[in-house]
Amino acid sequence: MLSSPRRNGTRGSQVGVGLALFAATLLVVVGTPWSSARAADDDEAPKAAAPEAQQAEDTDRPHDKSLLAKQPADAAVAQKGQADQEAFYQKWQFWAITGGIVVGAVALILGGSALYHSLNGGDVRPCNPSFIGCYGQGEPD
Amino acid sequence: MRASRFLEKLALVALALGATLGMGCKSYHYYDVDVKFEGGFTLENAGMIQLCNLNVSGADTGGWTFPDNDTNTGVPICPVGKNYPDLGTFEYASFEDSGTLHFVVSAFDQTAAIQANCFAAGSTDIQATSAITTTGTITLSMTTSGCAQ
Repeated sequence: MLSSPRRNGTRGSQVGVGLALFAATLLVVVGTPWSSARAADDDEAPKAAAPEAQQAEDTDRPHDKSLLAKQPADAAVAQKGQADQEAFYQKWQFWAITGGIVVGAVALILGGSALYHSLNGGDVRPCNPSFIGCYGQGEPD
Repeated sequence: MRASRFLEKLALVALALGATLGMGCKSYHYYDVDVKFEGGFTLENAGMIQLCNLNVSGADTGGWTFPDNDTNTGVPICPVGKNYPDLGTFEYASFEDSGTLHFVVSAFDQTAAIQANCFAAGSTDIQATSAITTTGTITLSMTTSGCAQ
């Protein structure tokens, strides 16, 4: 009966030692400069030991020639650039808007003329053939 | 917000335009007048007529000469023929819808419409209204008081 509490106290000290070791290891890992976590936030200047290759001398060109070949997207971009250089009258939008304006103007003139005619009485009604004649406004003299 | 303001302005412009156009709106009114000879006017007397004139005065003005015969049927009108004792009906179109229209028909026994040739005359006053068609009658009788020219 007396050994049980001692055994418990040994287990508790073992756990405490384990936790202390884990904490120490974590402190070392986080605290050392070579750790990846610190390097990510580090704004120190890059080491001179690894000289950076210039862009003109970029040797990282793909060996696969097909990757350097023009893609459809390049053709589309080039075509768009060419389209941007077109004169305004060569663009379909110009003719669409111009056509719309012309059609609208013609419709406005015809509609306005018809409306004006209608507001001014419109056409006189046909003359009854049995009448002597029809005279007055709108009638032929 | 912008769109609703634009629509409000557009509606106001349309309303103003409609009101402006509406104020100038005209419509035809027709006056159908039957011309006939009075009872004592014989066929022999009617046969002497060579020319008939119509004169309108009052709310509207104008003057016309009746044709010799109907262009469609060939029936004589003036000079008088088979159309005795009813010379026929004429229609007068006008934008007037108020005031009085004074119609005078003059008949001459010569082809020149001068007072010396005045033979018969008749007249009627018709009140111009908003009605589309208004009818009236003119009775021709021999006259010594002159004709409208």
